Amino acid sequence: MKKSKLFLLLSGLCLLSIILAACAPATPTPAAETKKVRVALVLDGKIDDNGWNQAAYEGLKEAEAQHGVEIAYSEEIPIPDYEKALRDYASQGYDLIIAHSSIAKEAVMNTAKDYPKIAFLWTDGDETRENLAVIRPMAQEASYLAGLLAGKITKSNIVGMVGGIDIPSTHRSYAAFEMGLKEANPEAKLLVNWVGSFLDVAAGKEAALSQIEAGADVIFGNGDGQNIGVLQAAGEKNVLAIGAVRDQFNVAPNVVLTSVEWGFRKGIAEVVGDYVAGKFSGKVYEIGLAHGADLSPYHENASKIPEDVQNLIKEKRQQIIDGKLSIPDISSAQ
Amino acid sequence: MLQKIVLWTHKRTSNWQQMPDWLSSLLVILLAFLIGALFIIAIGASPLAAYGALLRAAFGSVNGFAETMIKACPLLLAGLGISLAYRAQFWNIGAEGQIYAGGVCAAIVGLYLHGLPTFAHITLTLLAGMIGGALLGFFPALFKVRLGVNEMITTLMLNYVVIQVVAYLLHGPLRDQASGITISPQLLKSAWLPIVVERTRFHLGVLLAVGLALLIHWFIYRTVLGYQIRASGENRRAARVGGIRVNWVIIWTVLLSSALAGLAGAVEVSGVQHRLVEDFSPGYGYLAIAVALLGNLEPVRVIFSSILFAALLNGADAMQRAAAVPVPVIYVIEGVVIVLVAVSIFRRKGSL
Repeated sequence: MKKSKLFLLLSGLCLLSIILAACAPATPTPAAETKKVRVALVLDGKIDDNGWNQAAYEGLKEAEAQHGVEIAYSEEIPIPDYEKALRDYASQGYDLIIAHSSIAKEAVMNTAKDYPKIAFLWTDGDETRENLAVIRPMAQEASYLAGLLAGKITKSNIVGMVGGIDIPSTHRSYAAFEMGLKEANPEAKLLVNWVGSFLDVAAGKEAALSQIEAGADVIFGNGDGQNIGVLQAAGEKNVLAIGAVRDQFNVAPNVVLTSVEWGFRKGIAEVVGDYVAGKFSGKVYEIGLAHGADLSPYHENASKIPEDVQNLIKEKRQQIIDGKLSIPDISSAQ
Repeated sequence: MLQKIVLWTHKRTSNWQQMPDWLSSLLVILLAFLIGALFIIAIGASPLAAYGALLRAAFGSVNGFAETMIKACPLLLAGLGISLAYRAQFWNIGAEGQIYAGGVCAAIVGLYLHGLPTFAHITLTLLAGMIGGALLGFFPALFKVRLGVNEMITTLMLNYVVIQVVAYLLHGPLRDQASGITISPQLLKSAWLPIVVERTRFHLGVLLAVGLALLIHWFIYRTVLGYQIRASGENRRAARVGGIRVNWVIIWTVLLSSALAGLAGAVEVSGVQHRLVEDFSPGYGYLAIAVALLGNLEPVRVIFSSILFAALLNGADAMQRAAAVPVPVIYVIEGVVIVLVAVSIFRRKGSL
């Protein structure tokens, strides 16, 4: 008896779902259009992470708006699955595939080798092929400006930097930040912590809190997801902070003065533009101030920065763009 | 009227009980997809579009099929191991840990044994994986037959131990210092399973796994130990009376079972990742339980159930992209399959 009830229940469910399935609207067939360039983006985090991944996603959206390309993306792809995601897009015949990861080197190289006719872009990469271009974020210029700002604004003469993983792109940002800091304020001391992760929000927060404990009154978060923790800590303790990669004002609007933008938004749009114009080649795109990397606007915290400091930064920024001032690229500790 | 319906259902259901179990497996799958369809409709998408995208991604291209098969490979190997153990009524839920143990041992051999010819190196790498898995399975088996310790608890708990050991090794001695993340250096090229299908990641391990499934089918039905495994599982006491050394059979079964799970880890490391990565098994060891049960513990059928689950895993993000159906719907389908498989086993046997 029990069993027949179960059977009834199951068959009832069956019927119900068949009926519902039949009622479901048919998929609209897309109208035939002229063939658009198809661009795909693979991300290891979420498109709204206020940092690394969002910056790239905004680049993709900008490319869509500017160049009329068709876009697709996959978010939260862990490193073991990265190659699968790239191959997925490649086998579907996407024209340009963007791997937005500093650490997915083999996945990118292997896929690019197997699909020589498809163009690949590896953001923050260090090796090119004929069909693989690379974006090298040259954040040292904006980081130098951020260092100037921190040096001018600190009262305790102690400034903290919490980095993610010490790789070339974060290292050059750190080195230039220190250079700017020392130039603006020879007395200032820089506390340095690398938390060894680009994702660990809690570790970033811990490190920032301990720097605040040690007297730091400006904290520079230099990396990816751990930055969120850094800025949250600063926000809670009401200590001024500087974000990185993308405008991170939203994370802690009470304290974030500005952010060192790495320029992925304009950078990615630029590469897609080159592709659409038939100018794609396996070259290195160095994205500095002239190509979209920059300090973010000060938003509501502009009043916390004295006029003369703002002017100094504006002036130095112009000098860099005009080529009168060059910031050395120190990408490893040697 | 009502009486008639009840009588009719009753007659049907008694026939239903005699339904061949392959048919009930198919019904389980169908029903799971239908229930999944309810969820898809509930979020306002079209099930046909969603499932269409899923199938296309999983089987619609050479690359998609290859990706499905390389996901099926660890599921199949671990599922075969679980089938063996469950036939002997040893409820091994430690396949996940055994996969990691196998992966670590394979990685160590693949990283540090220099100067071997490819064939020998690959063989040793895979063997190391099997030994690693078997070692991990040995202790729960020993505790079970010597002390009567419940194997579900020991095998499950060992999973956490092993996964932490792997994390330790990757943060310490095995870490690739040149890389920013916790991964080991790349295995020596001679330890890589060769690619079978050009321009994909379809490696030799897939064929190996299918071959092993056939071999194990033969082993279960055509060898003395296979018979003893089945007999010990059906009825321990009868087997003992019949002169089978049941404890001995259990230990051997579990060693084989966990060696197969270890091999799954080794194949994943040497065929797909080419290095030890922290999360290289996203729960293959647990999913393999469902794979084995849906395959009714029959090696040849486990081939198909592993491909089914791999297709679900592989097609999930395509479904998300094409039909805006979130990936968790796939977990609903997987979960429903597992529940229904459990129900259908209950129906057949009266209990697990």
